[in-house]
Amino acid sequence: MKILVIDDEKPTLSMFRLFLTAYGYEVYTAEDGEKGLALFDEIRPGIVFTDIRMPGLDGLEVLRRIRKTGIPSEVIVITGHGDMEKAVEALDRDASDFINKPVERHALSSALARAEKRRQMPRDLPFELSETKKDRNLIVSLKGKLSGSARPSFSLLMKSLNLENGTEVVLIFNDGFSIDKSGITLLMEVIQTLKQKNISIVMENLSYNYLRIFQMAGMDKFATLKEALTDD
Amino acid sequence: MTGPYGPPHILDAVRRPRLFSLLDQHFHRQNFFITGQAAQGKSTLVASYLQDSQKKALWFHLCPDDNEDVKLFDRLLAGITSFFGTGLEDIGRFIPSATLGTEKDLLRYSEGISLMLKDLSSPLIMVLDDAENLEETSSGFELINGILNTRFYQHKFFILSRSTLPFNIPRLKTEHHGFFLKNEDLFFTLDETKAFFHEKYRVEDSDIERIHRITDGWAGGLTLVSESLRHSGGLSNLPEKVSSEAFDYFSREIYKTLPESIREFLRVTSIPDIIDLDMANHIAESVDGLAILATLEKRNLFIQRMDFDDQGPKFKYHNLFRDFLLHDLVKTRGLNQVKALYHKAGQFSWEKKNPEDAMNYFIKAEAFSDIIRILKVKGADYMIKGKMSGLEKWISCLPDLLVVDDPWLVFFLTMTRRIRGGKKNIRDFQRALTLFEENRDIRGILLAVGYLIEAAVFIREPSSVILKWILRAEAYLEAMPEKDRFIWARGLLWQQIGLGYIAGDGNIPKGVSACRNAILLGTRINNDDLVLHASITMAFGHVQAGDFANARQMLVKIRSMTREGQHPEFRALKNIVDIDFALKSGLLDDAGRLLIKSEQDIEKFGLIFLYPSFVEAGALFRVYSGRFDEALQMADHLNDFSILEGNDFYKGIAHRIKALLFLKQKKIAAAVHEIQKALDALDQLRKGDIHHFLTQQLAGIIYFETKDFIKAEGFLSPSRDYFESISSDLNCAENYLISGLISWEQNDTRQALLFLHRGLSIASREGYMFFPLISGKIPVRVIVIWMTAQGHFPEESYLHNLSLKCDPSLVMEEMDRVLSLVRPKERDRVIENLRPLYKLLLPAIRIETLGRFNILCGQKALDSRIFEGVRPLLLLKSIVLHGSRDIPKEILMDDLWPQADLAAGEKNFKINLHRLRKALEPEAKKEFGYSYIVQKAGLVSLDPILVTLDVDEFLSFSVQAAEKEKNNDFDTALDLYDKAAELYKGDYFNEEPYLEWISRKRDLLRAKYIEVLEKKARLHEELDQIQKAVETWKRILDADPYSESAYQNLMILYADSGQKNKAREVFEECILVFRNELGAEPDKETFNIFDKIKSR
Repeated sequence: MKILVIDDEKPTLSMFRLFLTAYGYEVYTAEDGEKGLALFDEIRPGIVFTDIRMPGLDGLEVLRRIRKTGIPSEVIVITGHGDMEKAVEALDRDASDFINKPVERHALSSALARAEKRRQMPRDLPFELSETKKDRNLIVSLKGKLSGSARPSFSLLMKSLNLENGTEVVLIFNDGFSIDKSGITLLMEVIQTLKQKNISIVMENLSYNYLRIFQMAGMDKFATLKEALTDD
Repeated sequence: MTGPYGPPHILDAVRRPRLFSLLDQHFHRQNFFITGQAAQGKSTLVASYLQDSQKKALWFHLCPDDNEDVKLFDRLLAGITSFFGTGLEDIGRFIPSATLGTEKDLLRYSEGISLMLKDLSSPLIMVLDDAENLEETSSGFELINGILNTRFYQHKFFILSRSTLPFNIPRLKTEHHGFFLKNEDLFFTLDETKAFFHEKYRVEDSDIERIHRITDGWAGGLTLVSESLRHSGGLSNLPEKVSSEAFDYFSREIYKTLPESIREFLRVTSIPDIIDLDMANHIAESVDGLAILATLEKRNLFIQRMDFDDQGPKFKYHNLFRDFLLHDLVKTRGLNQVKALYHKAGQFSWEKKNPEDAMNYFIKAEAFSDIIRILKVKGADYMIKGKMSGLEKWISCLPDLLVVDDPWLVFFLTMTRRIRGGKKNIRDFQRALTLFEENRDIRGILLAVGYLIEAAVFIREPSSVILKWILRAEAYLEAMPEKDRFIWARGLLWQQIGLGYIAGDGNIPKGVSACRNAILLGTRINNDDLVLHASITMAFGHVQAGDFANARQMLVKIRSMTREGQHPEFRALKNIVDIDFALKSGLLDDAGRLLIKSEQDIEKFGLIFLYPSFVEAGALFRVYSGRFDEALQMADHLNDFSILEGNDFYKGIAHRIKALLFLKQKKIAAAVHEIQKALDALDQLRKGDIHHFLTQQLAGIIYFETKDFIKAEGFLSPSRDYFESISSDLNCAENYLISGLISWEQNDTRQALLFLHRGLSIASREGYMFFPLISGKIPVRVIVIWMTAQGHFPEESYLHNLSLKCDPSLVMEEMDRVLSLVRPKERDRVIENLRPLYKLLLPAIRIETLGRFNILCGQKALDSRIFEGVRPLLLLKSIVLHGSRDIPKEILMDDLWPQADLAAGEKNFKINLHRLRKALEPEAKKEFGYSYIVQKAGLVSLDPILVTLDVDEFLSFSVQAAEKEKNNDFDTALDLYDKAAELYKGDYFNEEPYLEWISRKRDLLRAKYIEVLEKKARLHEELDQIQKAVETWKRILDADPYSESAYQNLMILYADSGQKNKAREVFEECILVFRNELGAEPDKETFNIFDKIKSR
């Protein structure tokens, strides 16, 4: 599969090129956003990594323009360490995933695995909630892109539930799940509300990077976060 | 040239002078692109041109298989080897598969073939026929593209193709090096069409004009019309247009006139790509194939003949004709019977020991069991030889169901995407391993687990995972009952274990040991590839361990295995080792150049394992070059690499680099912080000793800077013992010097001097002028402390040279520091001890006396005004005149003030000596006094080291020259005479013509100069260097126009060389000068010589 890496730091490009080639990908690199977009048009890669902070066209603009082409590439944004604001902004613009610098092996593998899975799935799935009861526990499956507009679905769910004290709610995040800023706010509200009702929450099958962003958002204070199993 | 690489056999081909002439005109170019539609006569043109011009060529008929770089490379290699005979068999050895990088075969093959072609001793003409079979996106196409883009100067390449191929050659280069014949150029002209038909039939010109019109000069059309004429004898049936599209119809018309037995033979023989007569007779049965094929060839009917020396002729149908025949074969026999024919051809090839052809036929026959049978017999052999593309093609033809449960097929298939398969390979090698284990196939187990380790290393699995597989592999090896079996597989597994330990687990000593086992086994079975790969992995282990001495030794061995080092891994490793050497020697420019080369190879060939060593070297290069910000970025990048790899080894190295970087910047607190992290990360057992002790040593130096001497020595002492044990001289020297300074600071002078002496002795023995860890003030302190205590060093020149490398201001500062601390009663002794060092800091003075008087301080001439009058300068001249050493002041006073009484003379002398000294040394240090002019007990001297004189050198050269001449070392003697003569730019103190006390010496020196020239001239004469002798005698006349011996010798030299007139001119000039200027006659001898010349 073709991968395009856009970053203005030459050593970072070299490192990505060596690692991703060893992983078995066909790797292309570009030193800035302009060159990256030109190369994107030419090779139509399956996955794109783009640094978020670059002179000239920054990563968010690169992301916007790639999305505008309609080519269904998975775009993974590389953010500075702890740069949650930017990561969330990228998710708002429909980035597939993000990874922090310095890039950890596990984060890279996880982002690649998720991107490859997402490529097998239909794109732009509407957000969907489905729940099943198991004993006293409730299993809620989340699919598609979660944003603020999903509030009615959650309200409906909350109303229909007759949750008792001590019940456990397990939120399972589908491989194709994605989220934006308003979705994070909504999810936070939901788990806070559940917590206030003394209901324990488990969030399962989170990608490594979503796990990180949910931790940064403070969700780990109200819920147990579990990472998706990967080959690693 | 005959055989599979010979040009097609040309029979009765019409010669085409028009095109031959074009080719001749452009034959200085390298690439020839002959492009034309099917049956346009491209091959015939080039073959007949080469035949006519008696040029031998290597001819390749490209086929779809050649789209794979490895297959094409193998074919080209085999062809070139057969073309140039024996001696080139090992040429492919320098293109082995990857050891330390991702497989970028194309780059390796491309580089390999270019090097091979450049190495060929004689010119080569290579024809690539049927090039339209190459797809522009294929690696085979890229390989050819690479060849055509390289300038070879003596080789020629002909590319014959139906369509214009999009080779990526820059336009200017194409225009300069390439020549094109296009479709329209190849059309037969009317005259050529006439020549074509007149040779065979009696055809009216008007008919030929008609043929030419309806065929447009298309060679295929002309052949079809000719064949039609042969059958019908007339042109009445000709259609309005005969183009390549009409081929099918037209062929059928001719084809149906042939007897059925021949038609059947033609149909059946369209099965093989090349028709071997044995094969043809085998599948066509009881037909005289040779007779049929020879007849077709004679009629030039879409067939090419290739002669083989030892196997008889072979034939190849033209592609259009073959397609036509194949189509008819399927139509008449049906698909199943065609498959049976392919099967028959496959069996025939297999029996003839040609497995690759057999496989290709079996694939077309869909004979899966035969394919599997051959794969199992030949698969491992192909794997060992790295011919993976064939394996991939054959296995991919098999139905999945036949592959998934067969361990060898799973294994071979996974091997075909070795390394580039990424994570998928882990799963598939594991699957093969499980199947091998179920079958108890030991060889398979060893290979599968070995490549599993490799795959895990390449995709950077965590150390724990890699170690798990290593331990399992070691258990298999341990449990093997028969130690003499599967030696290759065991060797290969040891090599992969070595790679796993070194690059995956970070346990370098164990990795090096495993590689050693692999090398032993490889040597036992003479498997060069195994030995090479294990050696490269081992050298890599040494580099990782920082053990560059052993890495260098290993590289020397590898060099001989890789055809003088033409191997990417070898080059990259060697560059890194050389960078280390350059950095330790302070050769920063060299290091910078090597870093660029190293980066190119690592990036080009994806040598991921060498990348961190390259980054480390790059960071150190920047530290030593004072580019600290960049060095910090590189260290951070190494840290990033470590994080991405999930391995803390490079993290430790990154911390150590940062510690050094901060130490150099005097940010000691930050250096302490970083070195502590490095010490934590680089433990001794797993990473090998060197990194551990290097870190300890640096820690010792950093703590020395914090003045925590006890802690510093705590780190330095064990590392010193370690570096002594491995004879790491540079590290030892640095360690001893720092320990010496520590003892000095602790007032243990005896121990300090012992350490310093040891450190300086090692450094002097090895000639170290650069200390990577202790640059700046530390060497200065070492020198000053040593000189303070001892006043000299046994290897004086070493300390002298080392001092000259130091910043003079730092040395001066350090001397001031020492002098400020010294006790008064020791002061004089210390000053005397330091005096030689102080003098080294002063610029040298050179006094030029021959010709223009000059005083040069360093490179700068001193302005005479600084001497405050002429007397100080005259005093200096007097000192020089009297030999510069130990001159009683009275002599000088007598020269300058001969009329003055003693007291006045003394006073004048003192005043002028002071002025002179101050002018020469305006900033003399109080403690050391004036250095250039010394006065002791009334004797005055110029310092012999600080002050040099041209006149001393002049005399010295002339004495040396005479000595050399005496010893018959004439070349050196002449060189020294030249040097002496060069120094004599004019008379001694030319500017003082009226000072009597100078004139005598001036005359003596001029006489010496003439003597030097005369000796030089006579020596030239003896050596028969007449021109030089003449020039030298003339130079003597310039200096002394009355030198009669010069006139005499010039006359003789001219006369002896047949220039009597010139001899006469010299004689007449001599008479003129003597009579006019001296009022005398030349010597009788001069007349005698002239008389003898006249009488000749």
